[in-house]
Amino acid sequence: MSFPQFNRRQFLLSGAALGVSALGLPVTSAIAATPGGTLRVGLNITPNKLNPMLARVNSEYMLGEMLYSGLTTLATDMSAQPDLAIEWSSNEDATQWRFVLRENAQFSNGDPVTSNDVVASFTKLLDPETSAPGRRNLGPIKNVEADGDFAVIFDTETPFSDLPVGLTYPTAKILPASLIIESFEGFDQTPVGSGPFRLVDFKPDQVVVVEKNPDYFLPEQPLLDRVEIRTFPDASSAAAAMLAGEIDLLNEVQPTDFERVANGQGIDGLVTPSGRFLDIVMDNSKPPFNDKRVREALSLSIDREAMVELVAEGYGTPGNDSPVNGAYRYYKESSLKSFDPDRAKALLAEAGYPDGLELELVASVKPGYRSSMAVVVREMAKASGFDISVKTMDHPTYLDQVWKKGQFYVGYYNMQPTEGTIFNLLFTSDASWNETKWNNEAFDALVAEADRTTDTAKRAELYAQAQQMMSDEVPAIVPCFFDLLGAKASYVEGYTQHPRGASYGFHKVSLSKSAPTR
Amino acid sequence: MNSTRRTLTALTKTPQGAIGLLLCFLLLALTLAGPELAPKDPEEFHFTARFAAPSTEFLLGTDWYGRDLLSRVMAGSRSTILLALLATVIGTVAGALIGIFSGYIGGRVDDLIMRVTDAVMAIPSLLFALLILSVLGSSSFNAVIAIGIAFTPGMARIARSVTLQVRGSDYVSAAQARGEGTSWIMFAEILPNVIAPVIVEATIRVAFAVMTLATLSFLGLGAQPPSPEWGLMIAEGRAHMFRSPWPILVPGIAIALVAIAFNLLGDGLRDALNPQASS
Repeated sequence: MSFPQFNRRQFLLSGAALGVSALGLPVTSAIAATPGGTLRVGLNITPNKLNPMLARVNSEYMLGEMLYSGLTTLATDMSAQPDLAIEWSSNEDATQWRFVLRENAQFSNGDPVTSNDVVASFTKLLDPETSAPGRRNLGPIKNVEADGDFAVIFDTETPFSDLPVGLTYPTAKILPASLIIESFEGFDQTPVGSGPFRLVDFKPDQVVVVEKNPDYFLPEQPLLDRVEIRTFPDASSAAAAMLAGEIDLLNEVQPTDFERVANGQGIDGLVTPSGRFLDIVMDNSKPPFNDKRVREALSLSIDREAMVELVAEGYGTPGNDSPVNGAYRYYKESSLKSFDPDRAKALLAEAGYPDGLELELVASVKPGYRSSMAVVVREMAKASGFDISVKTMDHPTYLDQVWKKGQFYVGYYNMQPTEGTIFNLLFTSDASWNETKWNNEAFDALVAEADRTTDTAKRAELYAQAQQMMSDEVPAIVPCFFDLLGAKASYVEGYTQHPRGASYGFHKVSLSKSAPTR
Repeated sequence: MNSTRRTLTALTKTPQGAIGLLLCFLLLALTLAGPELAPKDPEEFHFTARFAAPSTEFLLGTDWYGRDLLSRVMAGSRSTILLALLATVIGTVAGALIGIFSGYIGGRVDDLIMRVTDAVMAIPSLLFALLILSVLGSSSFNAVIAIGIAFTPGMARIARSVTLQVRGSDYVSAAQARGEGTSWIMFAEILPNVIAPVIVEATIRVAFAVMTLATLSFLGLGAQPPSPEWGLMIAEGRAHMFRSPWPILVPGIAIALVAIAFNLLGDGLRDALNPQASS
């Protein structure tokens, strides 16, 4: 079996770039942007919770970002950028941080945003009783206190140089202090925030309407008058609505639908390389996977380029068994692992399985490409002597019985803002979801040291070592990363897809003069 | 033996019976030898020929991994048709036994059994099978059992209604007068005389079983990928529908063919086994 090299993705990307330059679109479109108009956005998971601190899904993050502001926001290169905080600095060992707030921000009830509100918001967010979903993702915050009206000081338990990035977490929004104390439940019905938009109508499963906040702190933004967010029952009906011109923007398109949607008249397909990945999780503490040779043999049995083509339909990048790829800041480029069934067979024999190895790989049915990957792994690994049977199961059963417990299954994870977050989420010994039970002390030490290092070059070196170690030891197999796929009408300007997938920047979006008037 | 030959002769005299018999014979041959006759490995990927249209190399085209659809359908015939037959047999045997027993015993027992089957029949059979599967867990074998159980009440109704006609006959009274036991009367006297309508019903049920099995697999509750079970093939092919229709069309047509074949056979059998028609 031979797998030819595919590069349709690069072809499509270069084609898109050619198209743009041929049309001679001005790069400085932000200056020429026309204000006004209504943007219609399509979703297929409806927002249910209006309280931004309790948001759990992308659609709720989207609303939170429109109605509220945080201290910092995440740029597409995964660096922290000013939002309510305009500048920040830390002490030498990154245990104390000072954030300076802008003075022209005000809530929709007319009150100014001050350090008091920031302290109250973070106190509420970090209170275990609030059970805010992102509480552990912000960083090891010990204490938050005001320093005058427009500055805040954060103390951390351990040195943590990623705090400004940690604070971009989508649930870390600033709410008015008085209302947090009076009626926190009120935020479920009535948002009071300092975001670029204000809520007009909220009908879960149907439509959410927001309109421009005239007092937004950034000059001349937002450009749009109104945004309507419509929920569709599934991905294919959202795609059909996009093709029919019923919506202007769709930020989740299935790989199998993408080509059809992107080729639609007046529609631009959006492809953004991201760190979202599927991995083959192996329990490193039990046989057969406690033998590194078995894990290595499976790793050598996978043709990564072909995997990108077959599972991601070409909209992805091959992985090297580390969860970090080019979308992260400290990605260390390395040559792609080779597809070598003969060497895999030899390794398997060395490990004591000369007649091959029978395994059962579990895959949840959501999203659909989990089972595709399982089937492709089964077929690719046949040549090296692995006899893998695939077992699919519905998502709730998978979460209940297999996830974090199973010996051999397909995992699915979103991109995280930093290398530290993804390593500490999945692969260190004290990771929140330590599903591989790899428990490698040398790796733990590397990640811990990188977390507290402020020097960029030194961090890059430490994270590079951590990535190399994962690639060599193969605690899990990361065969491919998925691009984020979306679509927008050609007249929508200023929208960039964020690789993290939880940030949208609608205040910068505008409709060109060619947009249909409604 | 004689009666079997008579039935077969009568069957071939009606066009639907003849076509049904021929198609069913071909399908049975496919079921027994299909996986061995398949021209290619049904699971092998052909990377250079993804979404290929029918050609001389791939007679019915290929799917999204470049797997040969003809080979997949042939390999899948065994799981699809055999499992459907098995499900029907389970439903028929259980239903006939319950029906004959209930009809022959009569009285309160009959009332009780029939009210229970009424209650079960009030639930649509697909929904009932889904219910059973969610309790047993999803696998091909459990799907067969679920469909068998779902078919039982309908079959019991038919067996009972024929038993009610037969039970007053002289030969049954004679057997009772001789002092024969209940089971002897049920199996030796009544069963041979109610078997014809039960067989006709069973034949038509096979078509339903194929479709229900395919539906369950389509919903992700039957066969597991990469099994070439037809319903599962359609479910998986749906995501790629707009790029190539073949991965859906080929197994879809195969399911339709099986349903048609068994329906025709059932129609033919009904005519052949009907005493009024043969006289």
